[in-house]
Amino acid sequence: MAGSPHNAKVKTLYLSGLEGMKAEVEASIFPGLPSFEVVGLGDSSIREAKERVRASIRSCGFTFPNQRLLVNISPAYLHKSGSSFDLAIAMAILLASDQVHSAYETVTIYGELSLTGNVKAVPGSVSRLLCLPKDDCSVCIVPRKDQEEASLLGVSVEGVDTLFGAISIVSGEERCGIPSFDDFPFSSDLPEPTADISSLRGQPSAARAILLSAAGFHNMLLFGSPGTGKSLSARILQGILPPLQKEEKIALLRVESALSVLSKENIASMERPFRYVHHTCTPSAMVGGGRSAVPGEISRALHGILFLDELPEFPAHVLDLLRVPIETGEMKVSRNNCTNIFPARFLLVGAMNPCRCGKILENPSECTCTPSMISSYQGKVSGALLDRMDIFCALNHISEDSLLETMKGDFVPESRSLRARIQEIWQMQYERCREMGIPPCRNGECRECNLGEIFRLPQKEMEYAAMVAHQLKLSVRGLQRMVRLSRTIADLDESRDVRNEHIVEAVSFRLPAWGDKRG
Amino acid sequence: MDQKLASDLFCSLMIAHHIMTGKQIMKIASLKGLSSLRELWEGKEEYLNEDSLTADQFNTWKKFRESPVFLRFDEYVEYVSSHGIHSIDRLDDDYPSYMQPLPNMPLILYYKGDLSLLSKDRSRVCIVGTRRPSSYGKRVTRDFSGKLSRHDLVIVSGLARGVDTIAHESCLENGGKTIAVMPCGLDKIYPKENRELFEKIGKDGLLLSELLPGQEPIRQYFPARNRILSAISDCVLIPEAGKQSGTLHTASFAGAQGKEVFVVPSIIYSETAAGNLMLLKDGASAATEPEDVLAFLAHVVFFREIEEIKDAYDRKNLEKKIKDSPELLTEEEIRRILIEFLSVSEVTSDEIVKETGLPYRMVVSELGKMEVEGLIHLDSRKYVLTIRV
Repeated sequence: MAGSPHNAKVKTLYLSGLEGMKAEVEASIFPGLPSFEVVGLGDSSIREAKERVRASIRSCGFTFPNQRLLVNISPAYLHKSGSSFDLAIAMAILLASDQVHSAYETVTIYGELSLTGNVKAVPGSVSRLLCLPKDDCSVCIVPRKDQEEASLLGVSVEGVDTLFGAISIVSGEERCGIPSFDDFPFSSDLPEPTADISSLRGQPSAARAILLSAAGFHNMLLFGSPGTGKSLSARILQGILPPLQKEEKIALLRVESALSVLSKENIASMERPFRYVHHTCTPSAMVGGGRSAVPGEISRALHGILFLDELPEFPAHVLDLLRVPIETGEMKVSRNNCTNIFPARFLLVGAMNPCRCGKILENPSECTCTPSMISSYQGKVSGALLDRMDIFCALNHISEDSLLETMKGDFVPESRSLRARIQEIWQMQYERCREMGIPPCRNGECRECNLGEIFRLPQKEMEYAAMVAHQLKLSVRGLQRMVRLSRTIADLDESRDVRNEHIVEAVSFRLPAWGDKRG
Repeated sequence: MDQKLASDLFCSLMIAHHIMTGKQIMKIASLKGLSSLRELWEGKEEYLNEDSLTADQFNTWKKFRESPVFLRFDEYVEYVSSHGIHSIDRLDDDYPSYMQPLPNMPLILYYKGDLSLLSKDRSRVCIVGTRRPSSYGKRVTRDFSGKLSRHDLVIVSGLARGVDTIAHESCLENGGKTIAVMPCGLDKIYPKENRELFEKIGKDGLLLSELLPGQEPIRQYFPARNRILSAISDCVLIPEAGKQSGTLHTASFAGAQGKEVFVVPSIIYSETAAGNLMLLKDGASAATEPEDVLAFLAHVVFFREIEEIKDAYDRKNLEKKIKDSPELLTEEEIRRILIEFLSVSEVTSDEIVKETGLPYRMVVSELGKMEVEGLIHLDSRKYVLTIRV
């Protein structure tokens, strides 16, 4: 055989941004001075793979070819990174050097190797597995950990713990069964809400605002002095959201798995995400980015809540980045020569104090802020972002007797029972979108122009809404916000059409004119 | 013969000849249960006797019956009637109700023109001032009167030279309605050069006087006339007034009657406007633009409406209804409850819900409607009654 090269080829999957990508790893062994080269635009993590592969092949009792060895990863024009190529490179070398004989025509394989030959999980499992063709009859070998995600997605894979395990599957000695989605131990019920909506009994307007926000997925601004329960309200909102649907969960796991290896609890829970973002958050941490473009907080809040406490403390350029994702439901991040699209459908909940010391509403005499400080504090939140908040919810200090009421024996938790109701309302909204021939969305996410038609406002009500907008000097966006919210109020009333009473209630949740609050 | 006019003229004559005071007439009317002065006139032989009158008065009455005035009374009524003069008295329904509680209001008013300008649904501004205004005073008067009359306000003044005349003229030029309260009988014109204006107001506006037709203007009477000027107005605006001006009487009457006095500021060296500065020092409101007056009047109108709503508020009945069957409450009843709250202080919707026990949805819907109608507005997060302009 001397003189002619030995070739072998395996398929592998890698992660680029959020996308799972297919690649081929070819190994060729030529006679000549011993050398080991990997080509195909790999970064330093792939160059380091050489040493891990060499060590693990040896520790499994095989010989590392003492000849000229070339590994090519194609397509060669795309930049690649990550340690997931280790296992594929090792397998290609073992096949090319005739130490292992494959029982299958094609083998798809990925995973990180340790020096002792153990196979470790790598981030991005869900995206990788999603790009596997469902009807592929070939074998796919993944780290043992990824089997959980595979069963969630309903694809058949072979989980392995060691390089040796992978070899025995490739050579046809072993094969596991095909798991299915239903096998996975999902927690069928959501955990008990951390805060219950009934604790807002003394603040009916806040309770109503939270209910509406959930029912129509309306972005909400919580406005109130420190200690009035802004964070609590956001938690309550999370507690009344229904569990994630399967597709939503998968989309969320795609994001989460790209960032880190998922834990079992992480996968099992169907609770909607609640991302409490601190105001020191950088632009790329917020919307996604970095050298190799990883998803940001807005994507990690997918189908759940993005909670921005102390909204005016956020740098203006960070807040302004939120405008596009709110409108489009996704975030485009361009890095190197590829554009990554991160999903970003989230419910934005902002919280802010009325002024820096926070006392202007409850205790104006103790407030130490000057009027110019107040307006500059409030002015930090750009009008463009406020324009995208459908609900303005002012919180007051809870009075003594309502506090007392929440501690009495007749306190009945209500959040849990609301979840099913909100799920129904969402279904109604999706159904209406289908009838109108537009992509399914909840009321708060609807960005169509002909809202009157989609939301079923009869001519008379449309005129009324326009009259109200004129009277209250609302902008066009303000009118749209009011109409969207009145549709949700009508949905809660199970009314087919939006009526004047719904419009009138929506009025009370509009943003006040920003400015001096001393008057 | 106009019996109504005749009976009013008769009573005026009684007062003018010191046979009876206005108070006595009202007393007889209430004691005998008379529903109009006509009954008094027709039964004068019965009602005017030694019991109801003092001895002096009774003697005068006897003498008066011999006088030519009494003997030719019918001719006099015809004369007054031929001048298009009508009358109202305190026993009439269309006597302005807002004048009734004020002190020293005339028993009988003579008028020519459109009496509806005195109705309580209209807002009236009295504009009076010096007879010799500076060019500044003229300009202020013209601007304010014109602008205010374009806002459907009735301009009240005294047809005197100077500011009064300009106020009337500017109002008419801007298509507004105006009332002139005369210091003489309505068959006389004072000052004479205002004949044309006088006739225009008699046709288009309203001329008013408490004096008997035939009465010539008398200097001593001028201050007394001023009390009527302020009584029929919601506020008094003074563009320019000297230190000794009769305008200051009007201002002090207005103060006593609880009416707001607006003064337009001027430079401190102006002789013709010394009265303005004095009034400002005494605490009158400064008006630098017609909007100041409009805003105040909106206030007056609004609180007049609120008082009406509150008067109709049957608290006990409503409280029972809130408790037993809030769903049966009418929109009007909910609105009454809300206004009752809002008129005390600014409140949040949560506070209203807590205090009234009304369902949240009802409160918010009604608040929303009231906001759209402009009755209330949101100030940061509290609802406040809006002062409509």
